[in-house]
Amino acid sequence: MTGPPVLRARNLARTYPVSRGPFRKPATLHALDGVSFAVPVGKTLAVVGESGCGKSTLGRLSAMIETPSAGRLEIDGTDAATRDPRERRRLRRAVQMVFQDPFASLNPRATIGGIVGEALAINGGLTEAERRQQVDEMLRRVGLSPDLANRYPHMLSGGQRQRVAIARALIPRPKLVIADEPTSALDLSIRAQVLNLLLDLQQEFGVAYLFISHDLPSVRHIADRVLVLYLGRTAEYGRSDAVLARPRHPYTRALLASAPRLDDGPRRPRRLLAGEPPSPLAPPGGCPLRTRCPHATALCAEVAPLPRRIDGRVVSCHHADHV
Amino acid sequence: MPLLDVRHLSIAFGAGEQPVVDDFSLVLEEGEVVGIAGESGCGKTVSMLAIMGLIGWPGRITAGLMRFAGQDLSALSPRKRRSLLGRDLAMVFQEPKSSLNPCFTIGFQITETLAAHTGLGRRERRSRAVELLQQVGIPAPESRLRSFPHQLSSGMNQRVMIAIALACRPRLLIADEPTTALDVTVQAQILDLLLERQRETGMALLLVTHDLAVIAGTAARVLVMYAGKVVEEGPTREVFASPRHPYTQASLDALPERHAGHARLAALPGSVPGLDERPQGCSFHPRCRFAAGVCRRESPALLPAGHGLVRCHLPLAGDGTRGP
Repeated sequence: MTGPPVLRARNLARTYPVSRGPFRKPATLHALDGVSFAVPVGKTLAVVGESGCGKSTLGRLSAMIETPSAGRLEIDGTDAATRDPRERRRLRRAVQMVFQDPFASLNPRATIGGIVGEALAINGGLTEAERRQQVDEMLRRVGLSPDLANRYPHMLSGGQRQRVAIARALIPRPKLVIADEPTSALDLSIRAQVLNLLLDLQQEFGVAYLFISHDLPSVRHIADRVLVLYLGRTAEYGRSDAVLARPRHPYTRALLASAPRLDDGPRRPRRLLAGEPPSPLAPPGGCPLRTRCPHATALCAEVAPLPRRIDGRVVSCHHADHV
Repeated sequence: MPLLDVRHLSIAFGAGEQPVVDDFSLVLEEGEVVGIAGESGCGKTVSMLAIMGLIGWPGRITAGLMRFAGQDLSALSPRKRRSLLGRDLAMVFQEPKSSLNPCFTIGFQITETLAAHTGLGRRERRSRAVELLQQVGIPAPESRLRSFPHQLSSGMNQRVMIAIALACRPRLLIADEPTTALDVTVQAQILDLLLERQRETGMALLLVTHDLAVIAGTAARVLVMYAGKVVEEGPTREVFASPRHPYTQASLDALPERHAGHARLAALPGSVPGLDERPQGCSFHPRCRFAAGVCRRESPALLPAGHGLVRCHLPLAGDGTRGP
């Protein structure tokens, strides 16, 4: 591993004001609260959790679409809050995004060649012929025929469109690609193709991924590190083989046990977590999971557990030693 | 007598159009749990809608036989058929938010079904609605009756949908991707709930999903569909352990959980053919690594193989290799 991590977060937090009507003060929603992690060069960090846990907020902060409310975010060794316009432009180029729904993320009026080549056109310095050549080359790399460059997105299948989105993200040679649920809108057989493609391109370009997903089998397959979020806070963070094979946080355990598996016998009811995630506007005091957790004690209601190192990963749970 | 007996169902939209679903047969016994698997566009939802009688113009249904509890569904008058829907035959859809009416309370929507199908009085309907909400695990059911769908989470809304479907104690419940829009911990709760209600009431359950792992844990028997046709059918355990159709095998092999570490997945090349690009012969042959000359020429029939049925000229031997 060389150089600083492509992405490093320290106590990252993001809050949003939520209106409660014209005569009341807006409430504060803690979308992310004290999250720390690092993505090394050319590696994959998967962010998992249920809807509303802050996964997508984390992606938006990392892509510099939004700014953190507190804490520090470093992209490629530079503070993402830097004011230097030239630095900001460099960082923006270093981070690219692939979105969930390839039917919504491609401009229907632009040709495939235009979509993939747009970043090159903006960054300038290339003739039209050179651009064209790079676009063709990139289309080939993602497994599409360069003949598609003159077509429009509606002529392509879902899998092909997601390949176009990946080509568009990779053409400025980013250090980090944020993939926000890149396979969840795709069919089973196409999902495997796209996961393979992401792995191949990582080998080839040395790009790092921030892989946001709720599909645990895919995460297990692609990730080097895993960050499990619950209501905006870190539940567990560490190497994916450790976290997914021997989870120490009750929430990680529940996530893993809830995912149906092929080798399941007839289903036994497994009530690992009661109920549903509480509203992030009114999280319970103390440990955010305590209202659903089977191990919760009086301590959990009073004191929010701080992240601590156990067994080679970071866990925020009072009872992580013995669950 | 089976509860549901569908033979050679075919559905097309518009006269002279390619059928969307072709030669779909399903025999379901009372109290049976059967899974229907397939990718989007394979015809699984359309076949369920046809059983429910919810295919409108220009859809055209032809079937050799369509019987539910001894009654010929295609010969029933619309009024008789409507009285069956929601009473003996109920369905739960994928998106609970778009299936519930946003303008009415959930209490109204549950009692509406009871008013249409039972002779219960107002007060009895109300207490039955409370009982139903309790059965589907909704806390404080009395006060929830006055809630509107937007005031509940999608998991809770799906529980309400299930409560409505169960209101008249159906003999067959069709659940079409009931957990696809839900988070994984809530998905597990909803599946547990469906199975618990199924065991308690003895109704038959048809579970439609693209997620093979969901079927593995729930259904005793599975139908795998591809491009409008059932390609394999059999006991879930046997089909998943030793698939006979190359498509079933390729789908199972493409699952990340079957691969250790960062190995490449055994992805199936190409994509599902669209309705107007379904090839001659076997519709899977362009993607099949075993395809031979006969596969390009003739469309295979659904024939017995192993413990089930398979639609393939050259079915697998059950150990991942091609048969004799």
